[in-house]
Parts: sequence; structure tokens; C-alpha cells
Amino acid sequence: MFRGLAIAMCLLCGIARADDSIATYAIVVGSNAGGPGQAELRYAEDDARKVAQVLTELGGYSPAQVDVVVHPTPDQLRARLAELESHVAADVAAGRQARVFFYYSGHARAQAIDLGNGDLPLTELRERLFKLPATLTVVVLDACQSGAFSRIKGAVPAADFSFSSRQHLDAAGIAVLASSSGSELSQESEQLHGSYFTHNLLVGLRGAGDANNDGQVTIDEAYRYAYNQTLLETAETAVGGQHVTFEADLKGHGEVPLSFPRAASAAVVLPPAMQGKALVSDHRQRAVVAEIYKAKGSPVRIALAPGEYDVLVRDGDTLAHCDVVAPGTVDLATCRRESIVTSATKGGGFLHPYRIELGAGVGSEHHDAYTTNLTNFGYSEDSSMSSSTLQVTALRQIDRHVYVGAQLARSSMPDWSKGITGTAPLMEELTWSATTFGVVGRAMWPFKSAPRADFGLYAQGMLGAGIGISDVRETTGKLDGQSNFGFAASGGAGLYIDLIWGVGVLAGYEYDYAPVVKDLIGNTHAVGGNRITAALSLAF
Amino acid sequence: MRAISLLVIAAAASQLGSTDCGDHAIKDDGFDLWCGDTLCDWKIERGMIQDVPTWHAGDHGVALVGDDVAIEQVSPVASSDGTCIELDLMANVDANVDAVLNVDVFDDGVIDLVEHLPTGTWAPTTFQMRMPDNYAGVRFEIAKTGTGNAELANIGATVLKTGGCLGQPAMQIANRPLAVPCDDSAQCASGMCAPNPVISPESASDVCVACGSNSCGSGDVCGASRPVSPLRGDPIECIAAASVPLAGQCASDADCASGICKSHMCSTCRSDADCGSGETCDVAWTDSDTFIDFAPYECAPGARRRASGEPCVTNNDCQSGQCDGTSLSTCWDGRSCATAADCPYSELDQTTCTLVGVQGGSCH
Repeated sequence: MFRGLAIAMCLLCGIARADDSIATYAIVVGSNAGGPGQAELRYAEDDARKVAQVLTELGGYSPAQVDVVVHPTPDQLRARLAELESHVAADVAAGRQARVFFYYSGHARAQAIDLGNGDLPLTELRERLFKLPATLTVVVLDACQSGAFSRIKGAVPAADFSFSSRQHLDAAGIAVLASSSGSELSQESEQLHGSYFTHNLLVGLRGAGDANNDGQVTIDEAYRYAYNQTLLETAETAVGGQHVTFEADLKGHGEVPLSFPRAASAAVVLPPAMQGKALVSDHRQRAVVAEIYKAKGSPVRIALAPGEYDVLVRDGDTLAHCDVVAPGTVDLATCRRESIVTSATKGGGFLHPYRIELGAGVGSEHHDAYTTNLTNFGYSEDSSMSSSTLQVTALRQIDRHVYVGAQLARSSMPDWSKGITGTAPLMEELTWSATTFGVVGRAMWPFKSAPRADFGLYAQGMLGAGIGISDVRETTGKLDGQSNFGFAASGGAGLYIDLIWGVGVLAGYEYDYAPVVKDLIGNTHAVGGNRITAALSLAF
Repeated sequence: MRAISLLVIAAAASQLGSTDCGDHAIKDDGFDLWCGDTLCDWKIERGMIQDVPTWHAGDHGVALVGDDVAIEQVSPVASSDGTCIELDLMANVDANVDAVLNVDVFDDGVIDLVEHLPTGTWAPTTFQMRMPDNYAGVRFEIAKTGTGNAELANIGATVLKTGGCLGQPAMQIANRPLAVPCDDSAQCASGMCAPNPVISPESASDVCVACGSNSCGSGDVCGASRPVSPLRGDPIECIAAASVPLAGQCASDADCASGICKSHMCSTCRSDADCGSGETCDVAWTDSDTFIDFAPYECAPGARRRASGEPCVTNNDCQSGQCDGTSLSTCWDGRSCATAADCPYSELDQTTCTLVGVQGGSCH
């Protein structure tokens, strides 16, 4: 079917943005919301904004022509489409040609896109987009089972990609890029801070997809790039490989360029000598803007906004950290190189799947039958002391928001003492502590991302066992100790900040309960109570 | 003179048994101090005791072992400390055991209050005792009869400075022995309550006495006898006139063989006028040397001026360097003693008994 794909529109060659005879319109839709049974997406709306940015920076669209629609209702989207239809009809009536770019990122099912607050049937969307009187309409769908948009018509997802757009230069009509086949799930990436498909599509449009190095990225080049990269990256995930699909009904002459990276005012150039998987991120925003495999031999130009960028290049077991200012070329001589610990590379797509935390807590200690008994036996609590806890926690991320792991904690309680008057006055002092070990489950929700830090909430629980030790020591040095065992549990919540390089800080509240200290009478002390906690974390 | 007054006031307080010890009324109220197999600060009256763990292996208690066991401790607690004593008992007593706390006010051997300890396993028990308005010294006795187990971890006797004992009437202690505080004669076994003539003449405190100014027979005087308890001062009773030797405690000149009672000690001079030329009348030993506040007065003490046969209290008084007589040790209040057990309390501890010189001596 792709042989029927024609790419070019002479009208569009050489950046048509300045040509008043061609009207350009883009509707870019993003919706994180999910329908019943669907989890909320994290990056769909961000992806839409990124697409709009690339369209205006590199695609020849002025900002006024790009309609970014975030989290719309079905009726709101219909209204935007109706507005578009009237604009295009007016242009056609006025003798102007029109090109339209429609992008949607969000949830979808086989029959409809899910906007969270309602569905828009794919048949309706398809019918409205296909009936547009535009000279060229490009539709990009980044949604689960978005390939069904084409299947409605009987289109078959591309199992292989081998056509050459250069053989089909005469084209006007409609082309549809869909992030997955009609039966596949589309996936987001924590590492990329976006969906695999949109990320790769945008990287391709920024220049990485310019296979013939002619300074523009055509729709078939963009598709080729997005298809290969998305399949390659999603093949490593738990969900499995994701196949980008392409449907086209175009005729005419010339290619269909979607972006013009060479015309961009700024770009990062990866030099010919560079080889390996390159990750380009905005230094200020810490956002990944490109992830490509760079082969040795020819340069790769990635059009980007002027600014500072970090380039990480992995080649085998070596990782190179490079700094570059766009426009500019990466200077390999100034890159910092280090070895890679190979075991830390997998992890289901999580950026930092492991966390080690060293924490401390202070707070009030339980007062119970055990401590009442101490008072009855003549002991007094040292009111200047507070109960304190030191703990080490190791966690592994198993889901976007969920971690599991283990925790080792040691709690020390305020001393109790008794002064003994008499022939040889002395003090008896009770020092006691509890050491607990247990499994930990934690949920972490980021709510704000700053240039160099992520802020969020966490809640966690621990269940395990512990040993309680109580020592009665006399000032003469005589010491008698007792040990007891029991279960232990804790629960808490708080705030966290994950800083650059995986270092972070947590602060919160925790309630500990560990009935692990017993006396000879039968009273049990539940070690713990209310705690204010703080911890340093290292994620890797 | 000022220093003397302060000493006298301090002595008065001590004589009344004041502990100045804060809240605690007895020593080792947790039965934690063991000297071998016995408690250091408790006296075993009868039976056997054993060191046992209580709530923790490191916390000591005492088990009363046998069918008939009693331990006791004398406390100097006095009305100046407070009149409400609270006892916080932690005991582990079997049901077939009768364990009691006996309270003997004035330590005269008469049990004035009996509290039965509740049976049970380490159940805390608290009760308060309203002491007499005027008392000095208490003997606490814990006794057990029966074959079962009786262990004690704490007695926690504290004097409540404020509050406590609300609505409780004060204990009425009649038949009080000599030299203990009293408010009226009916409280005394002797039937006589009079101002205390010894040690604390400036105190308004009255004590039970055995005689008055004209109540003794021929050849006797109403004077100071030897104390019978560290909790009490000198009993005032009929004694033979001029029977108290030099450096003995006295109530009046008539008590002393020397005929001079100065600062409650039989002395050889009352003032410099009683001494020879160039000699001064001064204390035989000072508190800075001995920590003893009351000493006899003599002329030129320690100046080696006394000739053979003249009265002396130290060897340094004599030209020969030897004062013949009975070796004398005294407590800080001047009473003679054999050991510290004879001496009054300072806080909860008894004061020292110090060898100071010779009683009723004469130069060799």
C-alpha cells in the first residue's frame, strides 16, 4: 500500500511558510486523562506541546497557525475540527491551497479515542479529516491501538518498511502515521519523559531522520526513523515491540517535507568521529530532546533551540559526557569519559530503578504498660532525650510509582534511670534499643519537575521483625541485658526531592510499631511512636 | 557569737531529726544495695533474705525467705521535713502470706501503724500516712509470716512537701519516750512536756522530760543523761549532782563535776576571768579540726600549761604532755559515742564518731 504513497508537494518544498498562497493549519491535541479502567498518562500533553514546538521551529508553521488543544472534551475537539473545516473551505474558495497537520496523543481503544470525559469515534475523526478539502493532510496519532484508525479502511500496518518515497514524487492527499498497530499498546518512557513514538518522531524531525542529508525530513524519512527507533526501544520493554503504521493516499509530484532542520537557526552537530548511542538533553530543563544511534563516518545535525545541551554517548562500556552550546558541534576532546556498570542498564525503562537511602528520625516514644511499670519500680525518664531512629533502606522500582525493597532500622529510646540513696549511692540506668528488618513498599508521586530537581510525595509501609535489647547498667559498671523478639511495622508519608545525579532528600512523618521489648513481668513495650524523618537518597 | 548562733540553730535542727534530704525518707528504698548476702542499709531483725530480680534481671529486689522474717530501717525523717509520708510499694506477695509494713514513730519499739501489703504479682500500691505534727524519727519494719513467697522491689517512702494526706487526721502518739518532741504533757509517758534545756536552748521545741526543777531527790539534780537513740537528744531526768565529767554534755552547772556547764558541755571556765594571767577561755577543739560543733571550754587549750593533777581534755593541755582519763570520742553535737551508730543523722546518713581527747581527765 505504501507504494501509493507520494510525498512531495512542490508547494511545500523549500519551506512554504512564506508563501501566502498556501494556508497552513495544525491542530495538536494532548490528553493525559484516561477513560474507565485506564490509568492516567503522564506525558501525552507534554508530547503535544513538544510537537507544536517542532512544527513552529522547524515545520514552517507560525505559532498562530498551531492550535494546541489540551485535555479537550469530544465536543470541544469537534468544534476545533469544525473551525478548521471552515478555514480550509474558505481558503479553497479563495483559490488558496491548504495543508493540515493533525496530531493526537492520548488514550484510545480500537473504536475511539478516549479523552477521559468522553469518546470520539475513530470513524467520525477519520471521516472528518479525510473529507477536509486541504491539499495535503498529515495525521499523526500516538495512542494505543491507533493503527485501528487505518484498519477501519482496511489498511494493513507496515510489517516491513522498504518503499522509497523518491519513486512517488507526485502527491497530494492524506497521510496517516499511527504509533502502534491496531492491536498494540503505545508506551511512555520515564527515561524519555514522553512516549517512545512521539519522541522518536520529533528526534527524526529535528534532523536525525534526514537520511539523504538534504536538510529536510520528509514524511517517509520521519516514518522510517520513527518506525525503526520505536520498535528498537520498545522491544526491550515489558509490553513488547511497538510497530508504527503508515497509511497514505497521496498523489502528485515531489516529496512531502515535514521539517526543515537545516534552516533552523541553531543545531547541535554530532561530529563524524562520534559513534554510539547518543542522548541529547536540554541542560537547563533536564529534558531529553534526542536519543539516536550515531554511526561513525558522517555528521548528524539535530536542530534545536539555541542553548546549552548535555550529550551522553554510550559506546560499548564507555560513557562520554559532553557539553555543547547550540549552535555548535560536540567537541569529543573535551568530553568526560567513564566506564559503565553494565548491570545498571536494564530496568524496564526506569531512569533510576534502584534507590539507597540513609535516614534518621526523632520523635516521641510510646508510653505503655511497660513504661508505667518502670515508673512503679522507681525509674524516671530522661526528658531531655527523644526517641531516635537510624535506618538504611534499599528499594527497587517495579512500576512507575511503586518501589519495593528492604529496610534495616535501629531505634534508641530515652534512658530511664533510678537514683539509689544509701551506704553506696549509685544510679541504675536503663538503656534500650530495637533493631528491625523488614520489607518495604513505597509509592512515589512526582508533582513538579524543576530544571535540576523533581518534587513529589511518597507513602510507604514496612512489615518485618525485630529484636529488642534492654540493658540495666549500674554506675559501678555492672550490666545485665535482656533480648526479646517480635514483629515490627511502620507507615509514613512525606515529600521528596530528587536532585541531579540521582541524589535526593526525603522528609516526612512515620509511625513505628515494634513490640519487641519485654520485661520479666510480662509487659511488652512497642518500640516506636510518632517520628519526624529525613533521609538522603541515592538513585541509580 | 554569730557563728555560735548558727551552730546552735543547726544543732537544734539536727536534734529534731531533720533530714534535709528532699523527698526520700529512707535509704535504698528499692532494695538495690547488697553487701554480700544482706542489704547494706536494712537490718535483718529475724529470718533470712535473698537478692532476687524483679522486672528486669538487672533490677534488684528482696525476697523474705522463711515463715517469719522481718527487716527494718530507722529513718531520721521529722516534722520539719513534712507530716505526710507517701509509700509506693511494689511487692509480689502470695495469697497465703501476711506481709505488713509496721511504722514505729520515734523508734521506741512501739508499732504505731500497721499496713498490710496486698497480695498479687507486682501490683503497685500507694498509701499515705499523716504523721504527728511534732515527730522526729521513724522506724520502718517490713515483716512477713507464712510459707509463701514475698518479694519487694520498692517501698518508695517520700515526704510530700505540699498536698497529700488530705482529710487524714494526724497519728496520735501517746506514751512518748524521753527526749522526743511533744506538744503537751499528756503525750509523754513521763507526763511531763517541757522546753528542751539541752543543745538547743534557742529552740521553742518542747520535749518529754522526766523531771522538773524541784522534783528530784536529795543529792540529785534534774539534768542531762546519756542519749539512748541517735534520733533523740539527752534525756532530761534525775541524775546525781555533779556527776557529769569534764567534756560531758550537760543541762546546767549542777550536772557537772567541774561546776561549769558552758555551751552544754561541762567545762573548766566560763570566761577569760576564770583563767590565769595571759590565758583565754576557749573551746578545747574546733569544728574546723574535727567537724564537731560542741566542745568543752578550758583555759589556754592545747598550750601545755596545766600542771600535774589539773583537769585536762587533751594531752596538749598538760605540761607533761599526758592527760590521764577515759578516752573520749564524740559526735558532732558533743555526745560521747563508741561508733557512728550512736551519732545523729545528717540527711539519711549517720554522722561520724571522732576521737577528740579525754573525758574527766587530769594531767599526769
